[in-house]
Amino acid sequence: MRSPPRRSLPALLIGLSLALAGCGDSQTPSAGASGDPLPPAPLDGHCDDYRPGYRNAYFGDLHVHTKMSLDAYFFSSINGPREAHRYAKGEPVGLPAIGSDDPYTPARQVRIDRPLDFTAITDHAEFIGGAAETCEFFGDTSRQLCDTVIGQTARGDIVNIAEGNTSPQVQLLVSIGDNTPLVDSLLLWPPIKQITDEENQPCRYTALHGYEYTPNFLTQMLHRNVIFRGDAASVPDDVYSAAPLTSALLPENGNTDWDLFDYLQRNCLDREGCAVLTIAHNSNGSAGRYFLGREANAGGYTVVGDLSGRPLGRKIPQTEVYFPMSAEDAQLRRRIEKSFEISQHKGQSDCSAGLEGPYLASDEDLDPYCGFELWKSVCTGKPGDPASCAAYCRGDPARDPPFCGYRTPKFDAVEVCASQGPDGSSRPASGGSTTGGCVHPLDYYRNAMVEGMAIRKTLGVNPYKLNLVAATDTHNGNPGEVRERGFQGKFGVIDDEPKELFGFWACDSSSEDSTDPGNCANRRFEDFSRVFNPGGITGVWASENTRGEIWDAISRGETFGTSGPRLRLRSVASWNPLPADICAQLASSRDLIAGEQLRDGARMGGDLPPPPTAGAKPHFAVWAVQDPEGHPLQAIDLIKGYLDAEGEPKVRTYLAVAGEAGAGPQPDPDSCQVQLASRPESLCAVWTDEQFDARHDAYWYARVREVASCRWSTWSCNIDHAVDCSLLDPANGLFPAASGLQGYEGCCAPIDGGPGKFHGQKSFHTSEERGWTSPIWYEAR
Amino acid sequence: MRSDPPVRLPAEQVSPVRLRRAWAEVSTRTTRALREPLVQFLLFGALLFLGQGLSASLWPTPADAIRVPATRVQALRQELRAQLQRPPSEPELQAAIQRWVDEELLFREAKALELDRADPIVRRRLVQKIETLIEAQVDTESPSDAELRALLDADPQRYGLPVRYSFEQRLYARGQRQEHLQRDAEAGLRQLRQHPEDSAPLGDPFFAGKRLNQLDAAAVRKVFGEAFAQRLVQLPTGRWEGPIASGYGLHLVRLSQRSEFQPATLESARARLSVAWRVARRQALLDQRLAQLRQRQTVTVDSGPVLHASQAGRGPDPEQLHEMLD
Repeated sequence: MRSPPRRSLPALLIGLSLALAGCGDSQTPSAGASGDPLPPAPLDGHCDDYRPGYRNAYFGDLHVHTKMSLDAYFFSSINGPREAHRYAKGEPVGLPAIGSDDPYTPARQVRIDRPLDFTAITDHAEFIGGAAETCEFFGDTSRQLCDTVIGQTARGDIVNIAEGNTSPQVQLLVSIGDNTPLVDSLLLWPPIKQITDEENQPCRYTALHGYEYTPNFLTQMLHRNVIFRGDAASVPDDVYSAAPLTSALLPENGNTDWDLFDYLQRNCLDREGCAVLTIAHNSNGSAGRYFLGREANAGGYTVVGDLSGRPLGRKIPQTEVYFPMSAEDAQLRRRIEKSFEISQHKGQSDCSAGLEGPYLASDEDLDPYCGFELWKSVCTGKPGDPASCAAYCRGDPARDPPFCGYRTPKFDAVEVCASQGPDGSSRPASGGSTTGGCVHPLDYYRNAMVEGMAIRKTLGVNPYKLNLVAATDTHNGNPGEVRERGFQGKFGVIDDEPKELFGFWACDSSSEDSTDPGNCANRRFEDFSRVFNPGGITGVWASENTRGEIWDAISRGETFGTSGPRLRLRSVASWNPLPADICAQLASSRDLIAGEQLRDGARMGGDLPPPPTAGAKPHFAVWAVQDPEGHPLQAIDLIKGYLDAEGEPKVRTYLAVAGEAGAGPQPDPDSCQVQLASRPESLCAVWTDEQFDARHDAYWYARVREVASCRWSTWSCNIDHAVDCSLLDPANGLFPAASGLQGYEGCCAPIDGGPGKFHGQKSFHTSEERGWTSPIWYEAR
Repeated sequence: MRSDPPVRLPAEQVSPVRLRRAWAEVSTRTTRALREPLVQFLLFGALLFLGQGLSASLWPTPADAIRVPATRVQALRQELRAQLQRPPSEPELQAAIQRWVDEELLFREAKALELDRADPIVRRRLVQKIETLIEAQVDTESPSDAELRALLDADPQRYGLPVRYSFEQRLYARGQRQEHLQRDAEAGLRQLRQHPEDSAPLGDPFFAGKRLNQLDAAAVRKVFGEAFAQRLVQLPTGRWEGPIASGYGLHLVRLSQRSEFQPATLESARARLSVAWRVARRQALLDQRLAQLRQRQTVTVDSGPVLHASQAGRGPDPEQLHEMLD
């Protein structure tokens, strides 16, 4: 690694002192396990809560935007990266006034309920710092000189520059930099990196370097978060952005993921001291692009080579020619992409009603809990809806889950993609001309993971093997804000008013009057943010709270994601029958694999070793404890993905392996109170997979469900604002001013009828908040 | 100018000779008119006017020339290379240069029309850049010990170690104990008080264990929840108390030590104080610069119709809009 430029030396020193100071004055829990004596003093070089052979659970948000993100900058421009870290640590920050369109003035203070243990600020790479191309012109040897001369001098000469005086340095700067990237990369990314290092407090709070790569071409969202392991000096000086610099080339997305992986391999993994991983997210918005299936080629592109058993790989840019995915590229993807955001503000991507595809082992295997926080609904009450919709949507708007009533085409009411492909080529069965209106079964995690196993039979590598996390994707600079009651949006002035949160009437043109059906072409009710949710949180098991430990845990998959509550989940598997006290052992936070208590085993995120004997069956234990300020647990389900006897990918759900089967208690409709009674605070499932076939790959992960609680919209509509849908004006489907409920029309969605007959009804939407463990994996030899 | 009566020839008198004489008459008058300075001036102006229009189409007025510097060509070449995964051909590079030139032409048009002045995105983006540049000056400065000491003295609670608690606990889990929860916990308490040395086997497994060391109140809340944390901080030390409720069930707790707040020294907090100093200094640099700029500029604010605060963000209503436009 080249020696860091002089200007970062102060930052380096600060970082070192912070590290040393952190170990000195940490204030973290040191918990002895049952009966074990505590070590008399912290072990050298470790934090107070480090105990060899034990793990602790840490909670954090790995997807956070601040005003440094180009979109947030214009909609929620109060909190930068430092404020976001301070919020995560428990300090108050400001947000815009509700009802105002001014994103710059803090008008209310907000504070997290419980501080986070770690955060990755992931502002959009686009425009926070392009490649430092200008200095690269001089080649590597002179680059440092260029950075030093231009960069440092520019800073020392700021007053002159600001005054517009053309000092020789400025002239040099201007003459070389017709190119703004130099100035951009000096301006925004290095200060972000410096703040991350300054806010990082080993043993107390981990701040991870990162950004979001945000390609959005041809209506196929293909976003990823890039998370680095080390300090600012080890992180590249520039970020990789999806903003096309030569704007007139034809838009395409065949290579956008490979471009990022190539860049990270070259600029980080190939450089000493740099480590990076990517986290995939929002495949539910990728219209079939994120996880291409075997031979999927909806666009009919020319393929150079044999596509059978493989997905499409790279393309020849600016042509319609593709190569099949190669084993090398599958390895590249596996080397960098480690994790998947299974739940966040823009919906849950584990599974979806109506999108089981060909992956259900049998009709009995329909998972009835796949209606949770869906952004895209294929169950829109039309004939031609997938058959499984009937299991969720009974035609009773007051009781059906929210997604049954989604009505905004191409946004939340979409078709199933009958075929998938890159470059916007996915198509619904009806043959629509754009992809924005379809979602594919492989846009959901459990299907994509098992499809990857089928690909492995041909390629030798499963390109899609991902462990899982969850996050918020807030654009308000307030990480880890997941509370349901009082949810006020995630996007500054865009989604904080009632009508933005719950939906509103819209016309084709903004000059028309959306309150007047007679003067509003194509008047429809936009669902808008009502379909979204406050977001989730990541839990990791690590021996202490330092950058290396947290990042390593994400990399090896000893992580779980939740839909918000701070559940603690653990799972292990072994070829040997589990000891009788396995639940107590899991509950005591022992690291059973490292401690050799479970020989021939694997923990969450890991791989089962080869079975020691023919006919051996894997034994699983899953333990979960509730959020101490949350709700009791209802059940643990197990989801298994595997290749069947024909080698076809299948998914099977084993419901309520622990806890209570069935619907469970509902909260009180007048208060949303959740009954405690003697409902369990923890659950433990011990289960053997008798159907296991050692010839075929498989994964197993657990989904832990809480008892039902009110959704954020129900808290607001039913309890806090007592919306009365009978007050809707039948003439236009709006609340009259006198009702005091203007903006809450979405509480009565879907609003049916027509002018003179508009009506809606209140619903009581509850959901079972949940957590998902990373899978335990098995790859047949 | 003498005003001659117009020449009028009787129709029967039109003949070549007459025409020649009429023509001579007209040309004489024209020549005389042309000698008049005013006419000459008007004609000359008309010629200039026509000439300018003519020359504009024949010889385009050279506005600012556009020079595509070598660095720009190099940058375009690099961008194409990155996107095409191969060096661009010469026609491709030329096409990219032409696109950049077109963009530059339109950019200059936009600037000439001052479209950048009112565009909120351009405005905010440029303000963001200049703010960052101004604040970056802090990299050339460093704090004195006195300045750090002042920050520490202003907020000692922030930099010191907060009150920390060390305690033992036994959990009676709600799901485990069911309707016997209260009874079991109370029985456990009696036993602990009578035989404190025999405490090990009591209670149910708990992920944070039975002995917790040096947790501050926030850390207690993270593990046990708010209700428990609020009770814990009020406990006396030295004896088993409870049952205390948490989200998990009931706990018996013996608080063994409450460590008092430990103030920081300059050395122990130096790194964090330096960060705080930099944050404050950045803001000060910005404030300083703004103060200088304000002094250099005179600012006048036009008085006009003031929107009521309650209408902020909803735009002016039609009446007020009329007032503003009339």
